[in-house]
Amino acid sequence: MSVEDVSINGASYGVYMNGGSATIHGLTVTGAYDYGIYVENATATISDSIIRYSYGGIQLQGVTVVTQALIERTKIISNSAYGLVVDNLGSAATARISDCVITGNNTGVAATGGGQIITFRNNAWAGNSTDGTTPFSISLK
Amino acid sequence: MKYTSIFTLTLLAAVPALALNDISWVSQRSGSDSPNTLCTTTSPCRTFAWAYNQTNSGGIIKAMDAGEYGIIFITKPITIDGNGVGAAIEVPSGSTAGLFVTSSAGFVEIRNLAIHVPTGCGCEGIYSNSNVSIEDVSITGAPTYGVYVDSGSTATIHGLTVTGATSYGIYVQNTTATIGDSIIRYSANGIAVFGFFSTTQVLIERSKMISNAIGLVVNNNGAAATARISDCVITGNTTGVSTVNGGQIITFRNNAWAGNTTDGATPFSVSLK
Repeated sequence: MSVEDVSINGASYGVYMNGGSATIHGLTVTGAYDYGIYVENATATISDSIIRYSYGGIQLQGVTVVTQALIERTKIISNSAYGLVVDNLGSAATARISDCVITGNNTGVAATGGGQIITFRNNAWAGNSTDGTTPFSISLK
Repeated sequence: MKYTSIFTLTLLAAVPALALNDISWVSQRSGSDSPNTLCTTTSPCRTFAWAYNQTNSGGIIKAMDAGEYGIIFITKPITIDGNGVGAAIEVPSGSTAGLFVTSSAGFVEIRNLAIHVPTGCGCEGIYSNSNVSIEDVSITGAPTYGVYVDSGSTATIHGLTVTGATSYGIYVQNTTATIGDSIIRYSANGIAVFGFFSTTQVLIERSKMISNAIGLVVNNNGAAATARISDCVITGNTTGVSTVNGGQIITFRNNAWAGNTTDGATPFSVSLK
Protein backbone atom coordinates (compact mmCIF):
# COMPACT_ATOMS: atom_id res chain seq x y z
CA MET A 1 0.00 0.00 0.00
CA SER A 2 1.18 3.50 -0.77
CA VAL A 3 -0.35 6.55 0.89
CA GLU A 4 0.80 9.92 -0.41
CA ASP A 5 -0.34 13.48 0.33
CA VAL A 6 -3.44 12.51 2.25
CA SER A 7 -5.16 14.31 5.11
CA ILE A 8 -7.36 12.44 7.58
CA ASN A 9 -9.40 14.08 10.33
CA GLY A 10 -11.27 12.53 13.22
CA ALA A 11 -11.00 8.80 12.42
CA SER A 12 -10.58 6.02 14.96
CA TYR A 13 -7.30 5.07 13.29
CA GLY A 14 -5.91 7.32 10.58
CA VAL A 15 -4.17 4.46 8.79
CA TYR A 16 -4.53 0.88 10.08
CA MET A 17 -2.48 -1.86 8.54
CA ASN A 18 -2.26 -5.50 9.52
CA GLY A 19 0.19 -7.43 7.38
CA GLY A 20 1.94 -6.46 4.19
CA SER A 21 4.04 -3.35 3.72
CA ALA A 22 3.34 0.31 3.27
CA THR A 23 5.04 3.49 2.16
CA ILE A 24 3.42 6.54 3.68
CA HIS A 25 4.50 10.00 2.58
CA GLY A 26 2.95 13.38 3.25
CA LEU A 27 0.20 12.04 5.46
CA THR A 28 -1.45 14.30 8.02
CA VAL A 29 -3.65 12.71 10.66
CA THR A 30 -5.50 14.98 13.05
CA GLY A 31 -7.65 13.96 15.99
CA ALA A 32 -7.64 10.17 15.68
CA TYR A 33 -9.48 8.57 18.60
CA ASP A 34 -6.93 5.77 18.74
CA TYR A 35 -3.68 6.02 16.80
CA GLY A 36 -2.79 8.13 13.81
CA ILE A 37 -0.90 5.24 12.21
CA TYR A 38 -1.15 1.64 13.40
CA VAL A 39 1.18 -1.03 12.02
CA GLU A 40 0.80 -4.66 13.05
CA ASN A 41 2.73 -7.62 11.66
CA ALA A 42 3.98 -5.47 8.82
CA THR A 43 6.71 -3.16 7.63
CA ALA A 44 6.30 0.50 6.84
CA THR A 45 8.23 3.56 5.76
CA ILE A 46 6.71 6.78 6.98
CA SER A 47 8.04 10.15 5.84
CA ASP A 48 7.21 13.85 5.85
CA SER A 49 4.05 13.20 7.78
CA ILE A 50 2.31 14.80 10.74
CA ILE A 51 0.35 13.01 13.44
CA ARG A 52 -1.28 15.36 15.92
CA TYR A 53 -4.08 15.88 18.42
CA SER A 54 -4.77 12.16 18.49
CA TYR A 55 -4.83 9.68 21.37
CA GLY A 56 -1.56 8.23 20.12
CA GLY A 57 0.71 9.11 17.24
CA ILE A 58 2.19 5.94 15.77
CA GLN A 59 1.92 2.42 17.16
CA LEU A 60 3.86 -0.65 16.05
CA GLN A 61 2.85 -4.08 17.27
CA GLY A 62 4.65 -7.28 16.48
CA VAL A 63 2.26 -10.14 17.24
CA THR A 64 3.03 -13.00 14.86
CA VAL A 65 5.35 -11.39 12.32
CA VAL A 66 8.44 -9.22 12.73
CA THR A 67 7.25 -5.64 12.50
CA GLN A 68 9.35 -2.62 11.69
CA ALA A 69 8.99 0.94 10.53
CA LEU A 70 11.41 3.60 9.46
CA ILE A 71 10.04 7.02 10.30
CA GLU A 72 11.76 10.08 8.87
CA ARG A 73 11.11 13.81 8.77
CA THR A 74 7.85 13.27 10.57
CA LYS A 75 6.23 15.28 13.35
CA ILE A 76 4.50 13.51 16.18
CA ILE A 77 3.02 16.29 18.22
CA SER A 78 0.36 17.15 20.78
CA ASN A 79 -1.08 13.66 21.14
CA SER A 80 -2.94 13.15 24.38
CA ALA A 81 -1.35 9.85 25.42
CA TYR A 82 1.63 8.67 23.39
CA GLY A 83 3.74 9.94 20.55
CA LEU A 84 5.28 6.64 19.45
CA VAL A 85 4.62 3.18 20.90
CA VAL A 86 6.48 0.00 19.95
CA ASP A 87 5.15 -3.27 21.37
CA ASN A 88 6.69 -6.70 21.07
CA LEU A 89 3.65 -8.90 21.67
CA GLY A 90 5.29 -12.11 20.53
CA SER A 91 7.32 -10.91 17.57
CA ALA A 92 10.04 -8.31 17.32
CA ALA A 93 8.90 -4.77 16.76
CA THR A 94 11.33 -2.01 15.83
CA ALA A 95 10.95 1.66 14.97
CA ARG A 96 13.86 3.59 13.48
CA ILE A 97 13.46 7.35 13.61
CA SER A 98 15.42 9.98 11.71
CA ASP A 99 15.04 13.76 11.64
CA CYS A 100 11.71 13.64 13.44
CA VAL A 101 10.05 15.99 15.89
CA ILE A 102 8.42 14.44 18.95
CA THR A 103 7.00 17.13 21.19
CA GLY A 104 3.94 18.20 23.12
CA ASN A 105 2.79 14.63 23.77
CA ASN A 106 1.91 13.27 27.19
CA THR A 107 4.52 10.53 26.75
CA GLY A 108 6.93 11.02 23.88
CA VAL A 109 7.80 7.39 23.21
CA ALA A 110 7.16 4.06 24.91
CA ALA A 111 8.30 0.50 24.25
CA THR A 112 6.88 -2.65 25.82
CA GLY A 113 7.86 -6.31 25.80
CA GLY A 114 11.26 -5.53 24.36
CA GLY A 115 10.02 -3.39 21.49
CA GLN A 116 12.91 -1.32 20.17
CA ILE A 117 13.24 2.29 19.21
CA ILE A 118 16.43 3.14 17.36
CA THR A 119 17.37 6.73 16.66
CA PHE A 120 19.93 8.21 14.31
CA ARG A 121 20.70 10.86 16.93
CA ASN A 122 19.11 13.59 14.85
CA ASN A 123 15.64 13.92 16.28
CA ALA A 124 14.20 16.89 18.15
CA TRP A 125 12.60 14.87 20.88
CA ALA A 126 11.80 17.11 23.81
CA GLY A 127 9.04 19.09 25.40
CA ASN A 128 6.76 16.15 26.17
CA SER A 129 5.25 15.76 29.65
CA THR A 130 7.47 12.68 29.80
CA ASP A 131 9.92 12.18 26.97
CA GLY A 132 9.84 8.42 27.61
CA THR A 133 11.94 5.41 26.80
CA THR A 134 15.61 6.01 26.19
CA PRO A 135 16.26 4.54 22.76
CA PHE A 136 19.09 2.72 21.17
CA SER A 137 20.97 4.86 18.74
CA ILE A 138 23.13 4.37 15.69
CA SER A 139 25.02 6.76 13.46
CA LEU A 140 23.96 7.95 10.08
CA LYS A 141 26.35 6.56 7.49
CA MET B 1 -51.58 42.76 4.77
CA LYS B 2 -52.77 39.99 7.02
CA TYR B 3 -53.29 37.68 4.04
CA THR B 4 -49.91 38.63 2.61
CA SER B 5 -48.22 37.60 5.84
CA ILE B 6 -50.06 34.32 5.98
CA PHE B 7 -49.19 33.68 2.33
CA THR B 8 -45.56 34.45 3.03
CA LEU B 9 -45.49 32.15 6.03
CA THR B 10 -47.10 29.40 4.00
CA LEU B 11 -44.45 29.78 1.33
CA LEU B 12 -41.66 29.72 3.89
CA ALA B 13 -43.08 26.62 5.50
CA ALA B 14 -43.22 24.97 2.11
CA VAL B 15 -39.54 25.60 1.37
CA PRO B 16 -37.36 23.06 3.15
CA ALA B 17 -34.36 24.44 5.00
CA LEU B 18 -31.19 23.93 3.00
CA ALA B 19 -28.96 21.25 4.43
CA LEU B 20 -25.49 22.34 5.39
CA ASN B 21 -22.50 21.04 3.46
CA ASP B 22 -19.56 18.99 4.65
CA ILE B 23 -17.55 20.69 1.91
CA SER B 24 -18.46 24.17 0.71
CA TRP B 25 -16.97 26.07 -2.20
CA VAL B 26 -16.32 29.74 -2.83
CA SER B 27 -15.49 31.46 -6.10
CA GLN B 28 -14.60 35.03 -6.99
CA ARG B 29 -15.46 34.38 -10.62
CA SER B 30 -18.88 32.79 -10.29
CA GLY B 31 -19.79 32.90 -6.60
CA SER B 32 -22.74 34.67 -5.00
CA ASP B 33 -23.76 35.26 -1.41
CA SER B 34 -27.49 34.88 -1.72
CA PRO B 35 -29.93 32.70 0.19
CA ASN B 36 -30.36 30.45 -2.83
CA THR B 37 -26.67 29.77 -3.21
CA LEU B 38 -25.76 26.24 -2.19
CA CYS B 39 -22.00 26.73 -1.87
CA THR B 40 -21.41 23.72 -4.09
CA THR B 41 -19.08 23.52 -7.08
CA THR B 42 -21.99 24.35 -9.38
CA SER B 43 -23.42 27.02 -7.08
CA PRO B 44 -20.46 28.45 -5.19
CA CYS B 45 -20.62 31.15 -2.55
CA ARG B 46 -18.65 34.36 -2.85
CA THR B 47 -17.06 34.75 0.60
CA PHE B 48 -15.64 32.54 3.32
CA ALA B 49 -17.99 34.12 5.87
CA TRP B 50 -21.10 33.23 3.88
CA ALA B 51 -19.86 29.74 3.14
CA TYR B 52 -19.05 29.26 6.82
CA ASN B 53 -22.73 29.53 7.66
CA GLN B 54 -23.56 26.92 5.03
CA THR B 55 -21.02 24.41 6.34
CA ASN B 56 -21.35 21.73 8.99
CA SER B 57 -19.20 21.72 12.08
CA GLY B 58 -16.00 19.91 11.15
CA GLY B 59 -16.48 20.70 7.49
CA ILE B 60 -14.21 22.26 4.87
CA ILE B 61 -14.46 25.45 2.85
CA LYS B 62 -12.41 25.47 -0.35
CA ALA B 63 -11.68 28.18 -2.89
CA MET B 64 -12.24 27.39 -6.56
CA ASP B 65 -10.24 30.24 -8.08
CA ALA B 66 -7.98 33.15 -7.28
CA GLY B 67 -9.58 36.05 -5.46
CA GLU B 68 -10.25 37.88 -2.23
CA TYR B 69 -12.67 36.06 0.05
CA GLY B 70 -13.10 38.30 3.09
CA ILE B 71 -12.40 37.94 6.78
CA ILE B 72 -14.02 35.26 8.89
CA PHE B 73 -15.03 34.84 12.54
CA ILE B 74 -14.82 31.19 13.57
CA THR B 75 -16.74 29.56 16.42
CA LYS B 76 -16.85 25.91 15.31
CA PRO B 77 -14.40 23.30 14.01
CA ILE B 78 -13.72 24.04 10.35
CA THR B 79 -11.05 23.95 7.67
CA ILE B 80 -10.48 27.04 5.54
CA ASP B 81 -8.52 25.95 2.49
CA GLY B 82 -7.33 28.35 -0.19
CA ASN B 83 -6.77 25.20 -2.23
CA GLY B 84 -3.62 26.42 -3.94
CA VAL B 85 -5.48 28.66 -6.38
CA GLY B 86 -4.43 32.08 -5.10
CA ALA B 87 -7.04 32.71 -2.42
CA ALA B 88 -6.52 35.83 -0.31
CA ILE B 89 -7.99 37.81 2.54
CA GLU B 90 -7.69 41.58 2.66
CA VAL B 91 -8.23 42.72 6.22
CA PRO B 92 -10.28 45.94 6.37
CA SER B 93 -9.61 48.66 8.93
CA GLY B 94 -11.75 48.27 12.02
CA SER B 95 -11.34 44.50 12.04
CA THR B 96 -9.59 42.59 14.78
CA ALA B 97 -8.04 39.97 12.51
CA GLY B 98 -8.27 38.33 9.12
CA LEU B 99 -9.24 35.07 10.79
CA PHE B 100 -10.49 35.20 14.36
CA VAL B 101 -10.87 31.84 16.14
CA THR B 102 -12.78 31.88 19.44
CA SER B 103 -12.09 29.69 22.44
CA SER B 104 -15.18 27.54 21.78
CA ALA B 105 -14.27 26.74 18.21
CA GLY B 106 -12.56 23.38 18.67
CA PHE B 107 -9.97 22.36 16.09
CA VAL B 108 -9.53 24.74 13.16
CA GLU B 109 -7.31 24.33 10.10
CA ILE B 110 -6.21 27.26 7.97
CA ARG B 111 -4.17 26.55 4.87
CA ASN B 112 -3.05 27.87 1.50
CA LEU B 113 -3.96 31.50 2.05
CA ALA B 114 -2.45 34.93 1.54
CA ILE B 115 -3.53 37.49 4.13
CA HIS B 116 -2.81 41.16 3.66
CA VAL B 117 -3.13 43.73 6.42
CA PRO B 118 -2.88 47.31 5.18
CA THR B 119 -0.74 49.89 6.92
CA GLY B 120 -2.60 51.65 9.72
CA CYS B 121 -5.19 48.89 10.09
CA GLY B 122 -3.96 47.92 13.54
CA CYS B 123 -5.20 44.40 12.82
CA GLU B 124 -3.84 40.91 13.31
CA GLY B 125 -3.41 38.35 10.58
CA ILE B 126 -4.73 35.37 12.55
CA TYR B 127 -5.89 35.31 16.16
CA SER B 128 -6.65 31.97 17.79
CA ASN B 129 -7.89 31.02 21.20
CA SER B 130 -8.52 27.41 20.21
CA ASN B 131 -6.51 24.53 18.76
CA VAL B 132 -5.34 25.61 15.36
CA SER B 133 -3.27 24.37 12.45
CA ILE B 134 -1.79 26.95 10.10
CA GLU B 135 -0.17 25.65 6.95
CA ASP B 136 1.24 27.39 3.89
CA VAL B 137 -0.03 30.84 4.78
CA SER B 138 1.54 34.18 3.92
CA ILE B 139 0.83 37.30 5.95
CA THR B 140 2.05 40.62 4.62
CA GLY B 141 1.46 44.33 4.92
CA ALA B 142 1.60 45.66 8.44
CA PRO B 143 -0.14 43.30 10.85
CA THR B 144 0.30 44.10 14.51
CA TYR B 145 0.62 40.36 15.11
CA GLY B 146 1.05 37.99 12.19
CA VAL B 147 -0.29 35.09 14.24
CA TYR B 148 -1.45 35.46 17.83
CA VAL B 149 -1.83 32.13 19.65
CA ASP B 150 -3.60 32.76 22.92
CA SER B 151 -4.29 30.79 26.09
CA GLY B 152 -6.19 27.56 25.81
CA SER B 153 -5.10 26.74 22.31
CA THR B 154 -2.27 24.73 20.91
CA ALA B 155 -0.92 25.49 17.50
CA THR B 156 0.91 23.64 14.78
CA ILE B 157 2.32 26.09 12.29
CA HIS B 158 4.01 24.95 9.12
CA GLY B 159 5.05 26.93 6.09
CA LEU B 160 4.02 30.30 7.47
CA THR B 161 5.64 33.50 6.21
CA VAL B 162 5.10 36.75 8.09
CA THR B 163 6.54 39.97 6.73
CA GLY B 164 6.40 43.39 8.35
CA ALA B 165 4.62 42.75 11.64
CA THR B 166 4.62 45.91 13.71
CA SER B 167 4.63 44.01 17.02
CA TYR B 168 5.23 40.26 16.62
CA GLY B 169 5.43 37.87 13.69
CA ILE B 170 4.25 34.95 15.81
CA TYR B 171 3.16 35.50 19.40
CA VAL B 172 2.44 32.57 21.69
CA GLN B 173 1.26 32.98 25.28
CA ASN B 174 0.19 30.53 27.99
CA THR B 175 0.11 27.54 25.67
CA THR B 176 2.18 25.29 23.42
CA ALA B 177 3.04 25.47 19.75
CA THR B 178 5.16 23.78 17.14
CA ILE B 179 6.52 25.96 14.37
CA GLY B 180 8.20 24.45 11.32
CA ASP B 181 9.51 25.59 7.95
CA SER B 182 8.42 29.16 8.56
CA ILE B 183 9.91 32.59 7.92
CA ILE B 184 9.47 35.67 10.06
CA ARG B 185 11.14 38.78 8.65
CA TYR B 186 11.22 42.56 8.64
CA SER B 187 9.13 42.68 11.80
CA ALA B 188 9.55 44.34 15.16
CA ASN B 189 9.85 40.96 16.84
CA GLY B 190 10.11 37.64 15.04
CA ILE B 191 8.73 35.02 17.40
CA ALA B 192 7.66 35.70 20.99
CA VAL B 193 7.00 33.13 23.70
CA PHE B 194 5.35 34.58 26.79
CA GLY B 195 4.30 32.75 29.95
CA PHE B 196 1.91 34.72 32.11
CA PHE B 197 -0.18 32.18 34.03
CA SER B 198 0.43 28.84 32.25
CA THR B 199 3.59 27.06 31.22
CA THR B 200 4.35 28.08 27.66
CA GLN B 201 6.59 26.15 25.34
CA VAL B 202 7.31 26.26 21.66
CA LEU B 203 9.41 24.02 19.47
CA ILE B 204 10.74 25.85 16.43
CA GLU B 205 12.41 23.90 13.65
CA ARG B 206 13.76 24.67 10.21
CA SER B 207 12.53 28.25 10.52
CA LYS B 208 14.14 31.56 9.68
CA MET B 209 14.02 34.65 11.86
CA ILE B 210 15.69 37.29 9.78
CA SER B 211 16.01 41.06 9.65
CA ASN B 212 13.78 41.79 12.65
CA ALA B 213 14.52 44.06 15.58
CA ILE B 214 14.54 40.95 17.81
CA GLY B 215 14.54 37.50 16.24
CA LEU B 216 13.23 35.48 19.16
CA VAL B 217 12.11 36.65 22.60
CA VAL B 218 11.17 34.38 25.50
CA ASN B 219 9.64 35.96 28.56
CA ASN B 220 8.81 34.21 31.82
CA ASN B 221 6.36 36.79 33.02
CA GLY B 222 4.85 34.73 35.83
CA ALA B 223 4.92 31.24 34.32
CA ALA B 224 7.71 29.23 32.72
CA ALA B 225 8.35 30.04 29.09
CA THR B 226 10.61 27.86 26.94
CA ALA B 227 11.58 27.86 23.28
CA ARG B 228 13.43 24.91 21.77
CA ILE B 229 15.05 25.60 18.43
CA SER B 230 16.36 23.11 15.91
CA ASP B 231 17.90 23.67 12.48
CA CYS B 232 16.88 27.33 12.45
CA VAL B 233 18.45 30.43 10.94
CA ILE B 234 18.63 33.55 13.10
CA THR B 235 20.44 36.32 11.29
CA GLY B 236 20.26 39.95 10.30
CA ASN B 237 18.30 40.94 13.38
CA THR B 238 19.31 43.79 15.64
CA THR B 239 19.18 41.32 18.51
CA GLY B 240 19.17 37.64 17.64
CA VAL B 241 17.49 36.28 20.73
CA SER B 242 16.42 37.75 24.02
CA THR B 243 15.33 36.12 27.26
CA VAL B 244 13.47 38.02 29.95
CA ASN B 245 12.76 37.08 33.57
CA GLY B 246 14.34 33.66 33.24
CA GLY B 247 12.67 32.62 30.02
CA GLN B 248 14.62 29.72 28.49
CA ILE B 249 15.95 29.07 25.04
CA ILE B 250 17.19 25.55 24.46
CA THR B 251 19.06 24.73 21.28
CA PHE B 252 19.85 21.37 19.74
CA ARG B 253 23.25 22.76 18.66
CA ASN B 254 22.28 22.77 15.02
CA ASN B 255 21.19 26.35 14.37
CA ALA B 256 22.80 28.97 12.12
CA TRP B 257 22.62 31.77 14.62
CA ALA B 258 25.01 34.51 13.66
CA GLY B 259 25.28 37.78 11.82
CA ASN B 260 22.97 39.73 14.09
CA THR B 261 24.07 43.10 15.44
CA THR B 262 23.97 41.36 18.81
CA ASP B 263 23.43 37.62 18.75
CA GLY B 264 21.93 37.79 22.23
CA ALA B 265 21.33 35.49 25.16
CA THR B 266 23.50 32.43 25.47
CA PRO B 267 21.09 29.51 25.50
CA PHE B 268 20.99 26.15 27.14
CA SER B 269 21.62 23.29 24.77
CA VAL B 270 20.74 19.63 24.52
CA SER B 271 21.65 16.94 22.07
CA LEU B 272 19.47 15.64 19.33
CA LYS B 273 18.49 12.07 20.11
